[in-house]
Amino acid sequence: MSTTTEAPLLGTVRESPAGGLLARLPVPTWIFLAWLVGMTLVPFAIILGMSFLSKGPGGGWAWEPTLANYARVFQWTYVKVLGKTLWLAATATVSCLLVGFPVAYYLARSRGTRRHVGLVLLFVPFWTNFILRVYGIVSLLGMNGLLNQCLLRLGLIDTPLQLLYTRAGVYLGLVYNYLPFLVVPIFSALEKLDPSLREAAQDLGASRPLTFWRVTLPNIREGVVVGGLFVFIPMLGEYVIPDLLGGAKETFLGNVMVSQFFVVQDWPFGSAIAGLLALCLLGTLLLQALLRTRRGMA
Amino acid sequence: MVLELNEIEKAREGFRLWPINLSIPAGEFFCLLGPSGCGKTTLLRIIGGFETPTAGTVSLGGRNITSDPPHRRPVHTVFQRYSLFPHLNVFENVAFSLRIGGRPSAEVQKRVTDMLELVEIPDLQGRRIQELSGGQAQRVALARALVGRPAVLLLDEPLSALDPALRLRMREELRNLCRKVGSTFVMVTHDQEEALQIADRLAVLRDGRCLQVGPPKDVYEFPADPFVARFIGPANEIESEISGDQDGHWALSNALGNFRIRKNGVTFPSRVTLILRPEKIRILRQRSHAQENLVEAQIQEMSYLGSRTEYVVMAGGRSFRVFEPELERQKKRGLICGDRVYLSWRSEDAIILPGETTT
Repeated sequence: MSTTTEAPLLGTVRESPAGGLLARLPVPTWIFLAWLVGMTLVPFAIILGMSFLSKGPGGGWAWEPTLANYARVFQWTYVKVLGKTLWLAATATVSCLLVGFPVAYYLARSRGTRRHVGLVLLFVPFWTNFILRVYGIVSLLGMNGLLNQCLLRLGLIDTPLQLLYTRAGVYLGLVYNYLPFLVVPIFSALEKLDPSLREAAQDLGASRPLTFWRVTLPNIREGVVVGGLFVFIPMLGEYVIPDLLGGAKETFLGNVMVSQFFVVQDWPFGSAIAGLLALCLLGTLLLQALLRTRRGMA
Repeated sequence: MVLELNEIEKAREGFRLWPINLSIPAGEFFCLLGPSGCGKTTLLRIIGGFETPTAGTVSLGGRNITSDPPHRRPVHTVFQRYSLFPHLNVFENVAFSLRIGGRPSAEVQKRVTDMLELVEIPDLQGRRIQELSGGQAQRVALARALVGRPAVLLLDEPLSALDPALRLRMREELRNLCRKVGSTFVMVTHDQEEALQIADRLAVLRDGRCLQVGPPKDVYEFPADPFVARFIGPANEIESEISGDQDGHWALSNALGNFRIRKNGVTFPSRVTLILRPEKIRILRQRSHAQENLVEAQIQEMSYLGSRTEYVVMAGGRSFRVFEPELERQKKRGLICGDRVYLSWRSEDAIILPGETTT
């Protein structure tokens, strides 16, 4: 690796401009680029390529190019699933915002020990395995779970509530698991915000709510958008939580994809769904970039 | 509307503001002057509503506003680092208080345009905040605070971030602006020259106490204590003693000799500090019997500054600073280091303050 980076320092003039630029990149950039290509772009290219092949006789794929997989993806059944998935991810993102924003705001406003403890508490759940955490919620929400037991003891309900295997359970699981990814970008945006801007707004006649609306929020919008995307994107492909907390009663795009790969063994069709998901993500990111440049120009 | 501070106190860990009383009439340019940590910014924040006094009241036009939050006070602030809203352009920054107040857009348009005209940046309307120079940002901050026609405008070291040439120009502009808009200006500064030049009246603060309030000339010529004398301008201090009564004058003795001074507040016998301003001391080439208060001295250092020459001279075993105006110097024989000279001052220019010098 060192030879590739040191060579241009010797000043080979006849190098082509593009080659020169690439060779001039520092070592960490090379590591990152290698990682990006090897672990993300190549696997994605394989999936994308496979989505244009046919299903093999005993599962897997056969070398017969076709567009049938995409034709199938756009059948009404799957479009409905896509719609439902988008709706679930969007509403769960909003729920995450409703819970996470006050948390981020509180953490950004507090100082010293309180802030440290708060940040540690936010990440403590991540010291346990994801699947274990989801099972933790299962035992919490079950008919004989802690929550129902407490409510029964307190006399608030007579019969246990059906919490597990409902949409509510899915939402709870999603919000719980993705919350920190939303809190951190908003927290850091709030932290970077000059506190004297809030004072200036109040000084000029804005009450606290107005100050928040007219000054704080517009200045941390980027953080909120990034936090939202951080949770929205992985939620689109989520399949474990709907399975375990939703009781596999409802099918989302992630579930379809996983079952195509591991149950039905139709890898090309699973790949087409993955391609569709990637398209959704690309669309979201493009939309964000577009809004950003438009704001920048205004 | 008169701004009145009544027995304002503030106690905080490691800091204390002692009871402060100030009455600032409408339209006055008032300066809070003092070294850092003296409490001047705290006092400004109390007026703005960003801090609550431990005791005492703030009233404006006779109305007690002590417990009003900042957004309910007709008091706007130019913050030290301007604190312009980065998500809004120049026009919208200036329009902020009018929009919050729900003014009709035609009025907003007119008042913002007029205000930008007044601070001489009419063509910056659509500029982004990130694209402004320090001087331009300062003007936007001024326009933003003044557009709502506040009864009181607070300025927190507004010129400290500017380069020296611009700072000098802005001093004059600030004073003119105060006359034009009619608001009361209260400015915090640690720069005594700035305060002397701009203020109608000023207050000198130190360690949370207000030492003296008055017009710049009064404070400069009749400082209430040695710290004020030293802070407001260059001063030579000589520990002295009132040694007796001499036909209606006090007899004063110190390392330089014996002098006669006019009777004032100090009592006999007592230790006092004699303060002589460098520009109030004349430097004579030869002994002259026509002069009162004559002291022999030797030149140690001299620096030519164009409008004046500054000398450091030794007299009575200690050093003094003396300024000689260029017009005066030209008329006389040139001096070099080591020359023997005589110092002289008029009795009425000597400042006598009770107590010993503490540095």
